[in-house]
Parts: sequence; structure tokens; C-alpha cells
Amino acid sequence: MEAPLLSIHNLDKHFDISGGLLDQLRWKGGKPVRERTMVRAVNRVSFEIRKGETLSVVGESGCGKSTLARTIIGLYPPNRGEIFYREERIDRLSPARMLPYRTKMQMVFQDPYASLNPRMRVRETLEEPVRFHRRLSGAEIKDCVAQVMEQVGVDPSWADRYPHEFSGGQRQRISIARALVVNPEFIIADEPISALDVSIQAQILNLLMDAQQERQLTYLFISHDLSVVEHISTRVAVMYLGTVCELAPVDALFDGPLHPYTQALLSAIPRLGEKGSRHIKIEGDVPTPIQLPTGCVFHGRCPHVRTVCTETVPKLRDFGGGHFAACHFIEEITARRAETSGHLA
Amino acid sequence: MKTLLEVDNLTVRFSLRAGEITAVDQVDFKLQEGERFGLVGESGAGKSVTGFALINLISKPGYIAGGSVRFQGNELTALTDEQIRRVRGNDICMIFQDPMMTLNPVLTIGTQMVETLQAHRSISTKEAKRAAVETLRKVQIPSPERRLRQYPHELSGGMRQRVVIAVALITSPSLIIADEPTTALDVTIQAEIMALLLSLCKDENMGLILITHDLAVVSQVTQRIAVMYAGRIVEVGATDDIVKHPRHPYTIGLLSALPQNKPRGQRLDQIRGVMPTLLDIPPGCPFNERCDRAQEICRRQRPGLEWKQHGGRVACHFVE
Repeated sequence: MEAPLLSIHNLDKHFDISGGLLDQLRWKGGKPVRERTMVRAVNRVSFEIRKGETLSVVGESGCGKSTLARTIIGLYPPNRGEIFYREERIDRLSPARMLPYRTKMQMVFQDPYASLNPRMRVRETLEEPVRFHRRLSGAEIKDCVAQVMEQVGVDPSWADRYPHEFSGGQRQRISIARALVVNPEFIIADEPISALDVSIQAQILNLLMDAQQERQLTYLFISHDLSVVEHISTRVAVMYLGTVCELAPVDALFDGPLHPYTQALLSAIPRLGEKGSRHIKIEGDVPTPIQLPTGCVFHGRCPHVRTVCTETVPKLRDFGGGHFAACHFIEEITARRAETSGHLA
Repeated sequence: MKTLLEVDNLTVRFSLRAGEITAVDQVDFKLQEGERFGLVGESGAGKSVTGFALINLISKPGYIAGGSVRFQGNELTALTDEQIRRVRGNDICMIFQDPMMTLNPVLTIGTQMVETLQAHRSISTKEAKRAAVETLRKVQIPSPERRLRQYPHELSGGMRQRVVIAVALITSPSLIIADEPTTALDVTIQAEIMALLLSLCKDENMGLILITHDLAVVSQVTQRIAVMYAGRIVEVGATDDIVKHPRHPYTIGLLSALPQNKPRGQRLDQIRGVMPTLLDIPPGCPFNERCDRAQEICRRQRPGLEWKQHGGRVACHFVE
């Protein structure tokens, strides 16, 4: 099998929120000790992304999916773990040696209002990365920008306008053009359509799917919108509290989720015209990533919890066909579900 | 069944420096007692302004330029500020998108609930507290007595929205207007809040106007929906019928743009272009520039919202 385009191994990203030295001091046993408060946003995440696929990361707010995306592209240095791009380790490169990878990997952000510089004309926004990364003449740069604008569906004759003159959907097209203009292989899209209206969402999703086909792009797609993820992904990783609890090809995940959290999450998707609730309720709230639970991160809310879940962290296990889940009792839960659905049938 | 709310030709305008805009243009619909009704549309379609206008919450530079809102037979647009205040938060309550903005951060949950009730009923604080606990229990908040003493920041997003619903419910209103009540919440919490709203409406025979951009959510909760575009209602009818057999080209486009309605991985149908800004709505049908079926008449004459053969109302020249 072909080597993966990108792979990450046991990635950790923690943020120190303890503030200055004085904020860190605590009295313990009659003397001052220095204590740090860490937000454990991403913990021990490993996966591979193959060339040409769309791997989506889903989860609810605060599960660490955006932090993961930003760590992979190098906006945050990881605390532990390794990131490989075409089998080259890239998480410890100097800025100069990282440079060639920056044209290969690009990012599209959620908010097209905040991610475009309001004082730069669209032409300047799009020409800057080309000028920086590629040795092209002025005329070639112009051509290149016009061609990409055409591809994303923004009229090139509008290049001398400012971002505020465009609608949200048009701005997101410009953000995508900015990513495409350096000819990347790999694009991380962090909630690229969440700020847009339904009819515009379809336009942007189509644009992303078309660009993928034309340019053989690989996507890491971050989203909380499960029906969008179901539509565009090749494989899906479900995150909860900084860890991946299930990773599977899209059909396997949506047709037969294994992890209890995934089952609850998918059951909550509102379906058009469906009356009555199939929603599997989960008790309680997501714990804070400052005080991570021991054992399985989901144990405090899991309906199938046992003692072992509070003690041992479950590993991602392979259940065949590339379907991975991190739970001690998958076999039992699956058997019980089969039994109850048998009763119903 | 008795009519709860009757909206006739409601028009809301805003006088802006750039010109006069019509945010809500001759909107009319009816609501029976205990009926759940959805107002659907994209941002800028005028659905929230419609919701505000129902209880006279339009402030300058906006004004209600025409039409009427009759609630249980009483005309609301003609009421004085003092009179409408007795209706708002009492017979008609509104729930907003962001619970943190709705709740007062420096008052306890108990104070806010007691205050609401005492503004409308002359009862003792002790009785009001008892009613507050009762209502918190109704919205399934665990240990309600303890919650009364807590501040909004001590609760999670889902719990806060439950409190907001409880504040709305405490006066036993006959109509709730919920403006994107779950848009700020995660999908698992959204499912719980929607199930709660649905069962409360059924139990208390409460009317509900659910304002949302999410067609899937609205289709699960409501009995009838109105689809809005550029300030106008373009289609009204039974929810199940519209979801299965949309008639207006905009509704058809909106529904087929949803990923749920296409096999995984397939290209989505898209509506070309964007909704016109309210400052330059094209003459004739406001959708004509994006519509595949548009003919000369669509650019000339505005279609009325008329009864069609299938038993719903559609504003399109080409629906029989």
C-alpha cells in the first residue's frame, strides 16, 4: 500500500493557562509550591491521511478538533508526539526548512470575515502567497491568480475590490482561492461552511469537491455538522474530550457506529421530516479538559460503564475494514444491540 | 379549534441613511391554539424581524408600516407600551438564541424567575419561589432548589437554555416565540432541548412559533411552516407536505441543497447567486434572478401568496 500523505503519532497539545508566577503559587503543607494549570486539549491522537481522501474530524465544541488541525499545520507546536508529511518528520523543523511544506499544506478557516485582511484588495491577498513561494514573473502571477479566481467562481475583474464588497459565500471562495493559489496537495479546512447559509453551503461544498477532483487534493475537514461530514468524507474520526474514540470509513461509521459516544452523537442528528425522537440521551455534561477523567474519558456519561473503564484507558482497536474504536466493551454492546433490534423485528 | 394568532399583511420598514427598506413585506399567517408553526429562511429573510414585530419589539429606525396582529382577538399593534408589556412575557413569551445574553449575569436564577412572575401576578415571594421550583422541574433541571441560588455562569449552555425556557414558561403563556433556540448549542444538547420544547407544547397546549434556518429541526417539531425569502412568505403549508413536495422554486432549491437529500459523496444541487440585499430587491418576484423557471412575467409582476390546488399557499406564477 502507498505510504500515507500525512501521519500523526500520539500527538499531545496542552495549553498552560496558569498565568504569571504569582498566580501559580499555592500553599501546600506550610510552604509555597508552584502549580501549573493545563488545558489538555489534544491527547494521544494518532491517525494517517491517505493521498486523495477526505478525512473528517467531528465532535462537539471543546473536543479539541480545531486545536488538532492547528497543531498539524504547525500553528501550535505539539507538546509530544510526531507529525510526518510523506514520511518526513515536520514538527521540529526550523522555519526555513519548513518553508517548502507550507506550499504543500494550506488552511481554510471558518470565518471569511475575520480571515481576509480588510485592507488588502483581493488581488493583493491572492498574489502575496504566489510571490512569496513561487518564482514567477508579474504577468505569470496575474494569470495564475485570474485562473484560480475563475476556478472558485469569483469574477477576476473584481480582483481590485476589497473583502467588504463581497458576500460571505464569495469571501469564502476567496479564502479557498488563497489556499489553492500556491498549488497545495493537502488542505485543512476548519469549519469552512459553518458561517454560511444553507444555499451557499451547497455551493462551497461543491466547490471543495470539484477542486479535490481536479487537483487530486487531500482534505482534513473539521466540522461539527454531521450531515455535511456524512456527505463529503472518505473516513471520519470522532473526537471526545481531546481523544479519538472512533475512526472508520464513512459508510461503516454512519451505518454502524460502535462507540457509545458515536451512537449517541449520530442519534442526535436532526433528520428531515422525521417525527419522534430516536435520540439516545447521554447523562451529564462534558467534563473540563483541565481535570481529565481517569481511564476512558467518556466513562462519567457512558451507559455501559464498568469499573475497568474508570481505571484503564481503552486503546483504539481494529474491528475490521479499517473500523477502529476505543472502548473496552464494543463486542458486548454490539451483541446487546443486535439482540434488542432482533426483538423489535 | 380556536384561532390564537392572526397576522394580516404585516409590514415592517426601516428608515436607513442608505434608503428605506422593507424587512417584512405583507406577511400573513394564522395560528390555532396549541399549534406549532415554523418560520424558515436564510439570514436576512426577515424571520426574526417578523417574530419581534408580533410583540411590538421593533425599535427605531424600524417601524410597523402596516398590517395587523390579532392575538386572542385583540389587536396588538394598536396597544400602548404599558398595555403590550402586560402581554409580553405573560401571554406571549420569547426565547432567544444565546442564553447567556438573555439571562442577567449578576442575578441568581431564582431572582430572575421570581421577578418575572411578580411582574405579572401579585403573589408573595415565597409562592413565586415555589412556582419557580415547579417550573424548573418541568424543564427537567436536576435539584431545582439548589439551582435557584446559582448564577447563570455556573450552568452549562444546555442548562442555561433550559432556564430560559423555564423563565418563559413560569407565567403559563399560550404562545412561545423561539428564535433559533438551539443554534448556539451542540447537536446532542439541541436534540434534548427540541424534545423538551415539543413535549411542553403538547402537555400545556401551548402555541409555538419556531424561527430557524434549520429545515431538519423545524420539520421534526412543527405542524405547519412558512418559508421566507427577502422579507416575504413564499410558501406556507403543512410541514410534512412541504418537506416531501415543495412547490416554490426557492423551497425546492433549499431542500435539494441539503446533503441529507443526496447519496453520500454526490454533487449537491445549488441555488445560484445570493439573496438580494433588501436595498435592491428586484421588481416582480424577489427570487426571479436565481430562478430557473423565471419568465418575463416574473420580472414584471409580483406573485401573490395564493391558495393552490394542493391545499397550500405559494407565491409563484407557475404553480397551479
